[in-house]
Amino acid sequence: MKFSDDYDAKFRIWAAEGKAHGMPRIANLPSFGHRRFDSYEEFNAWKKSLLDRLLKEGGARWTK
Amino acid sequence: MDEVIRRLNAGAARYLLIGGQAVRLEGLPRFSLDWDLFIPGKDQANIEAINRIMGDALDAPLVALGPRGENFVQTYQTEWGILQFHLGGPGLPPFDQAEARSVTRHTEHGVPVKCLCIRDLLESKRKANRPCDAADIAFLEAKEGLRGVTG
Repeated sequence: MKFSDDYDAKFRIWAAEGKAHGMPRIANLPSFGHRRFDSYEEFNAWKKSLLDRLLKEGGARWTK
Repeated sequence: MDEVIRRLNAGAARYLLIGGQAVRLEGLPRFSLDWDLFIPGKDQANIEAINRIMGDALDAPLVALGPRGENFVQTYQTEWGILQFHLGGPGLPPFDQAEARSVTRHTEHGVPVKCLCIRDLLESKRKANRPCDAADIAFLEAKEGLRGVTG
């Protein structure tokens, strides 16, 4: 196994570094209004539907 | 999202970053669609303060947790990304306890963020126990091992 494939080693390195890494943003997130949820089931179903909409639109387009 | 955090800090709002973004600020390179903020569900003054601080960025007011746990997650799409307020939930300790143990981390741009401590973050991830949490849990366990469980 290459060292770079050893995720336990990577986790230890990142844990020791403790540095926040930048993250891209999605440029084409479907728009939605505010939502209030009463259960995690409801919340997770909504989140899945949002991701499904994103997939139908060809997937995420990333930006910095 | 730095702007949101700056506003909350400046307004002395009570919040704690949880979820994937909190793990990212601990050092795991990862992506997350949203920013999850844990807030005290029944602290009406804090909820009003957040509404005031966020102004038009929220397209409807944040409301308190209902008597039967209604509205325990409230989601907003803002110009900075998806913002989710958690007013409670499985795996999260009472807010006052979490706040007492909280830690300050920094975004990649140096903005201080109040976060759930590693132990509470790890516990919340273990309780959620979704397949997507496995890497977060392994990373947090590695970090916890290095720090001797201090958060």
